[in-house]
Amino acid sequence: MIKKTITLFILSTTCLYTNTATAKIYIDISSPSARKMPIAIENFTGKDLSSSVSATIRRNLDLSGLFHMISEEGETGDAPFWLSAGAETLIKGSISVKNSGVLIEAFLYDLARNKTLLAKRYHGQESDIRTIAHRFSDEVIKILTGEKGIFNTKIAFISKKGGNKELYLMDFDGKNALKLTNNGSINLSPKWSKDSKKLLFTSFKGGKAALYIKDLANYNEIALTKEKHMTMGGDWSPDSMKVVFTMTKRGDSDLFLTEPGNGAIRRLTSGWGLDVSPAWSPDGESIAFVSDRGGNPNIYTITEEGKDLTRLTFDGKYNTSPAWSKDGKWIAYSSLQKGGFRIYIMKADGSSKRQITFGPGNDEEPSWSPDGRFLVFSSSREGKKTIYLINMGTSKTIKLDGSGGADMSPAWSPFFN
Amino acid sequence: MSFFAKFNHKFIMLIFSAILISGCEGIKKKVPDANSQFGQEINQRFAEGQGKEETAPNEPLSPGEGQDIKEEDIKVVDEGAEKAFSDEPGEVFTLKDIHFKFDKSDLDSDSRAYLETMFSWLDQNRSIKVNIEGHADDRGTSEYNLALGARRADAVKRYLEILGVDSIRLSTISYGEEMPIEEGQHEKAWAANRRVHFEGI
Repeated sequence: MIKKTITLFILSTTCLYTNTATAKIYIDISSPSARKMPIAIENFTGKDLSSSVSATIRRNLDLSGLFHMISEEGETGDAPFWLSAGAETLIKGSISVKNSGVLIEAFLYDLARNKTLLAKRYHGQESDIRTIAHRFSDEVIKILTGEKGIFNTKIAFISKKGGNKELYLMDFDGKNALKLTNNGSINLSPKWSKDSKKLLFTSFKGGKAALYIKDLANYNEIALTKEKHMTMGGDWSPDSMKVVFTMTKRGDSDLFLTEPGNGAIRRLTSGWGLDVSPAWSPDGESIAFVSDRGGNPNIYTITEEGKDLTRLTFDGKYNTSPAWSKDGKWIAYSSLQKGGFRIYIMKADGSSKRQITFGPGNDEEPSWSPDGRFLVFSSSREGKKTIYLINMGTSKTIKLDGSGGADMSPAWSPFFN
Repeated sequence: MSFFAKFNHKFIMLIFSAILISGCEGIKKKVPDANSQFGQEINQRFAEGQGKEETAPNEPLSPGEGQDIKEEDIKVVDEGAEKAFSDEPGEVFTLKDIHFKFDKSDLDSDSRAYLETMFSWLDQNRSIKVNIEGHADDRGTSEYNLALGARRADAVKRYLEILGVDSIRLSTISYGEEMPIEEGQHEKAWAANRRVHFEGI
């Protein structure tokens, strides 16, 4: 079912021609001062809806912060024209409607070297056009940077659209919101398994808060544990075999570990203090979590064996929602400041703290893109909670449409294979 | 158990003291103060020579008033406080919320006093079970607030257990920030939402 959602009905993509000999890295994303690639994007020729292909590609590449957009919307020209305008690369293509759907051809040219870098043909339904545009955008990023693009990834989130909090899924850019639960209860805190096949979430559907796993292949839900105590929060191990979560006994919330389907539970933390919001590091070596053992909520790390407890935050009254960057070097979190919560990042050892968002309202619950170049977070800066996306390189921030209701708790998926 | 018995004994004494004090106040209220409006009217009537009453102004003037006072001895029963309470007919106990400071689960003196009256009600209504709901305001994460709500509910449960309520009659649930009773981003709403709510079962 999710496969259907992810790949939609793209019947086939044919690589017409790819210059595999290009080992050349056009954009060095590891360098913060990297020059932006000057690019021109022409509207695709063909039917009306062609503009939505090029518009989506333009929006994606613009959002990446890696490009200098030379072309105006709808502008066309030949290679010498674009070269003289300063462009070094060019995207153009066509779309045609077949009886069984649409056919899209898309090309990326290196103008200066007069080379075709990408030539792709996509067959699909009209409803697949955005997904096709995202796929081609990913190909462009891949060939110019050598890295995977994030344009086909998803964001799980919680929306209060119908009055109660339900679990939703949307494209990385906030489009195509899809309701995943409809239990009429309270659903919270989605977390992707690292193989991107399952979502762990907290729900009151059984009466009290408890953890469930939703299998995205068939949308089935199973309880994480058979515990009668409240369970909540939680995150997956890098191999998706284990889950660390909070269980509350006699008012005390501590961290526990379990293997879904196994039933055995092992205690990780104990003692006075609420231990919540665990986040497993990508290398599996460390679990970041929030505890008020020091008096108020702060971020700590501990190993899976319960060793090396380290406090990472000291400033302010409330530091929460730790989220590891995919390379494990950074932890994003939200911190209560004078004007409200703001998103910060720090290195995994708690050093180099840097403020990322500046409100107004409350900026909370950060989650990294799988390429580590973006964060999504919820914010009340315009009133009701909404999900925003920020480019960590350029600080460009966009509001995501989402469900159209109050949206929160975004969780960015890993790459889909 | 011995602690419980000792406590219970003290508690009975406390209740009797409370009844005695309130009884005295009840009597006092029936005596018109010379400075009150009613007292002044009486004084005036006497001053004008219109009054034919012989009674001193600081005594009850109307025989009816004095007769309203019903005085009786408090029956001391060996069974304990619940018996004394059950002698007061028609007492209705209203469950109300207990409130907390931001990020705290401490019970203040008002909350403890309320839980003590709640205990005596529970003690004389042994069939009643109570679900204790912990809530938080919406600042901070839903996860932390679920834990905080659980801690608040448990603080209340523990206090009722110490007072002597059988733990089997008390259940807890945390709703965290998920069930606000007042919407809004201001202290009034936050304060209202930081609460423990009771549901009798």
